[in-house]
Amino acid sequence: MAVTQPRRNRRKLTHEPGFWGFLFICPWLIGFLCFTAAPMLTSLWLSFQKYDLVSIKYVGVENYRRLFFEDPLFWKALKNTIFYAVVSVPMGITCSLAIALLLNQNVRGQKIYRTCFYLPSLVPAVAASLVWQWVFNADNGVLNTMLRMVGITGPQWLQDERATPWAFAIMSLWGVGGARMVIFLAGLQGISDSYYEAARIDGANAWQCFRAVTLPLLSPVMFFNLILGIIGSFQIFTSAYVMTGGGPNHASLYYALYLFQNAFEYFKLGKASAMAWVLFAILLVLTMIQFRTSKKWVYYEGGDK
Amino acid sequence: MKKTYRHGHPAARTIVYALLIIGAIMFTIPFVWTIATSLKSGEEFATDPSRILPKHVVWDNYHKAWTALPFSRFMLNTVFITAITTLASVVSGSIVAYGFSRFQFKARNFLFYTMLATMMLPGQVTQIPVFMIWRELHAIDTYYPLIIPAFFGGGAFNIFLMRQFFLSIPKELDEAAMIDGAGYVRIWWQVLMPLSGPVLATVALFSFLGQWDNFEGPLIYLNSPEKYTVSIGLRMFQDSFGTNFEQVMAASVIHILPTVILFFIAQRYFLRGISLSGLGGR
Amino acid sequence: MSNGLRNICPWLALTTVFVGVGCATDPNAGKIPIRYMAWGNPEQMALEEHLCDEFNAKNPNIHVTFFKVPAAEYGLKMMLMLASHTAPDVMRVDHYNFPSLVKKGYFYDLTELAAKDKTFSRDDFFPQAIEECLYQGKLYGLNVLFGGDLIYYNKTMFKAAGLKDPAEMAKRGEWTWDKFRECAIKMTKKGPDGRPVQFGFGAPSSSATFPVLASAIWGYGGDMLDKDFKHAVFDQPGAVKAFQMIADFRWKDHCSPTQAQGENSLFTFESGKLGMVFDFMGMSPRFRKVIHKFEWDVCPVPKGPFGNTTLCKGNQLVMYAETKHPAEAWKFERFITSETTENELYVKLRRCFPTRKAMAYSPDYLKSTLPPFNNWVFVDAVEHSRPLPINDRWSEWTTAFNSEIDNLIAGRERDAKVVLSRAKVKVDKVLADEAGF
Repeated sequence: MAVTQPRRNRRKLTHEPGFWGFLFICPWLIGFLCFTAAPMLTSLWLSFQKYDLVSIKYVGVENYRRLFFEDPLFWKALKNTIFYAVVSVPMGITCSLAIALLLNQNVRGQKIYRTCFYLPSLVPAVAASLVWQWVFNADNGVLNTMLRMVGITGPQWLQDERATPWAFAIMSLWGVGGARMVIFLAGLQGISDSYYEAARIDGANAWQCFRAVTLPLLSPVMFFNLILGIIGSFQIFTSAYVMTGGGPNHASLYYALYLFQNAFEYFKLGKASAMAWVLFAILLVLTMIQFRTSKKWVYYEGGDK
Repeated sequence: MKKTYRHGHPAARTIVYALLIIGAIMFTIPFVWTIATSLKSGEEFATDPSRILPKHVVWDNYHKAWTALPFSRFMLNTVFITAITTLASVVSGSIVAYGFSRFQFKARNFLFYTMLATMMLPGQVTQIPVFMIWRELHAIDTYYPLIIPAFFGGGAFNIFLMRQFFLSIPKELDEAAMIDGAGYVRIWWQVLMPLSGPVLATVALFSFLGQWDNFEGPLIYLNSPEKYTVSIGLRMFQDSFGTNFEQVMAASVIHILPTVILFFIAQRYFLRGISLSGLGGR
Repeated sequence: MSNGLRNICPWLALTTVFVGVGCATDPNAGKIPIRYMAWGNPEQMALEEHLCDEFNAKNPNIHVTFFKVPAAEYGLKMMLMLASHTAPDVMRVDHYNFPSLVKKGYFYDLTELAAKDKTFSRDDFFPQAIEECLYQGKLYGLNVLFGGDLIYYNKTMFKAAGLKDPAEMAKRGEWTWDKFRECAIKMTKKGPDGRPVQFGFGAPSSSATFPVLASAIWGYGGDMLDKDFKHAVFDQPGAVKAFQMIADFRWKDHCSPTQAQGENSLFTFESGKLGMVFDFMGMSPRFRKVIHKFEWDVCPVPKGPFGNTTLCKGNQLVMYAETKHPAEAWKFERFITSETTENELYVKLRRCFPTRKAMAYSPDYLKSTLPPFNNWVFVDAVEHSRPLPINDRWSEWTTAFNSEIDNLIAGRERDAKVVLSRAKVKVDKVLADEAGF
């Protein structure tokens, strides 16, 4: 990091680099205060009110108490979301990494492959939901037809509450897989060839190269994808909203969907605000844990830049 | 393109290609289905939806989808909003990223982490209060609520990407320029920006895609139909009295096409723009 | 020029081109502005747009602007507009949302405007159409897109199976739930590979169970909620019997596709692979457009031991409580629901059911040269109809209800009594809970 400028007393403010730095980040800071911080505080205040858009009444922590102790659906939604995150994030990261590794093999027509893998993230939600209903159709959908070919009877993906969480996890591979793959690819192409050459001179095979060179050098990218992946998975909303509406039997009732229902279908804005803050707190803690543990496995080339 | 390590064996390369082709097919199937359905007649879709390719190709769906709603108007609006927000995000975001990457000041790291933290903020937390703010500013049914936020850095992710890229540009260049008498603004504009083509293109592409697909924003803030964007138009094909799937699909293809073409062209910048070394507060 | 700059330049050029967009002078300045909001498919929107134009032409001092909103997001959009005091002067509201919104005082009380309007008489309308618009005895809306639930049937399929015409049976009083079941089973066919190729009846999936269930429940003497909407009563014998029957169509008689089989519109009425479906008259224009391969028509819902009561429902044309021009908005509402408009839309174009009694009974309406031909069924349905128990907690308690009923509809459980007893506990809890928490 840059060496801190020695402090010179009594200099003009405009000569102070710190002043300029602050000035440069001001656009973001102003936007943050107006469009993020102030609304957040408003919603924090709302979370202590009983508010149905017409009447507003201070109720203390009642919204939170009801969420934690009297609302089984809150826990159900939280459980669904955690399951989704736990399954979809590692699965998605592994698949995207595998694709990125393949694409990094200097293959011909790379541009076309990259576009192919990125395509699903470009399909708008309206069209995508129709597509997925067609893929997951239990009777003659693509997925079950393929499973039948290898002798497996596929489940009723979107009707069976045991299968639905998996269906959503599989879907996530397509939706965000492309963007993740691009980020991995960027990371892979940033790894200097000299490392591989050195490894090969030492007699390493392809797998050893991957373990000793690729993985450690890719760990910052992995970390980045992990953080964004977890945050993204906690906010899953559109696919469930459009495709299943939370069913069957609340199997796809995800946190953001339940929050949305409370706010915009039941007009429980106090409760919804409380839910939003609980979600924010969970994500904050998760991210902090990740940053803490990252020191053990994330390797930064050249150390402190 | 950067040279990467190759497997020597032809067999290994065959496996790589086989896996890639299978994967590419799996990832493109949904898209192929979208296009195929857009070319079916309504009757064929209703009677035989499991068939992938249409028996008779019906181009008319595109014409119908385009004329059923004032789509050329929607397209023009979308291009207008997207162009301004993309430009604004790139310029304002790079200024902020410059501030975060090149200067030491009080609370810098705190502010930087705060910015990163906003990435994990669920949108619903702020939705209603933010709406109230725009209402107080009498900006409902204008493009301001969609455009103005882009002038404030254009989102944490974009700023973050640019900051990371700026960090990879040697500081010696700034110092050399400073010795030549350049001020901070000139360093930003004449030293950093010219070297940042890839990241600027990446951020531009991300902003473009984000705004092009943006549905909630236009839905919430725009009332008059003549101000609508394509993403809202797309949703208007769905209705309780039966959806014309083939027209929805045709409209979807029209909607996606510019983004696909843009991605295809811009991807060579794309990869170079994403530099994630020194992630976090470093 | 620097590289970064070069990257940006095309954008700059593009932006300058489009900056001009949206800066035109308003030719309607000086007129009284009325904003009207509704949803629908492009066809419906085009018709309403046309109505607005016609109204504007007839009333040079008023200018109506039509706001179209996608159907799925209409509720959200309306709520945000109401909450921020930017709602349009006139809105179409689905009756599912009407009770909860009218209770919050968002809508203008039309009672006085209606009383002053000499051309308006409540007696012209079906009482069911008026009743939906009332809150605490006051008029808060005018009904549009109104009608009763009935059955669309595939005439060709009935004939092929050697069955009598259901509409004829209904006329003779023979159209019972037993007969319905018999027909549904007879029309169900399997292909050579043992997989079904045709079903007698398309039972709706969970989110839309009510239209079918309501007529079955009432037909067997049951009900959903008690009079004050305080407790669920669907665990009583009549309702249990109805729910059991609907579930059995799918899981015991196998004459109705499962959700998986029915997905992707594989077995839709349009495809000619379903013998019967429940729906409203609003479905007719679509069927007329896409069905060319078989004959179809409409018949009433089957009769149970307690008669053949069906449900009716409409949308309400409401006025925003804070509108600055109630008189002009009323004029517009009246125009959209006028006799001329209804005649044009419902009698000539046959899009939906008229709210005026005389019009529904007129020979012009009853006679048709295009399917469906049994137009008396639409009238009959409304005459034999009741409203659903829609109150301000509707979406909340039906969500709780559906989560249990899903088990029955999806075949995870087969005993309706057990499922309904559990659903009652859940729904009662919702109804007892304070609203807004």
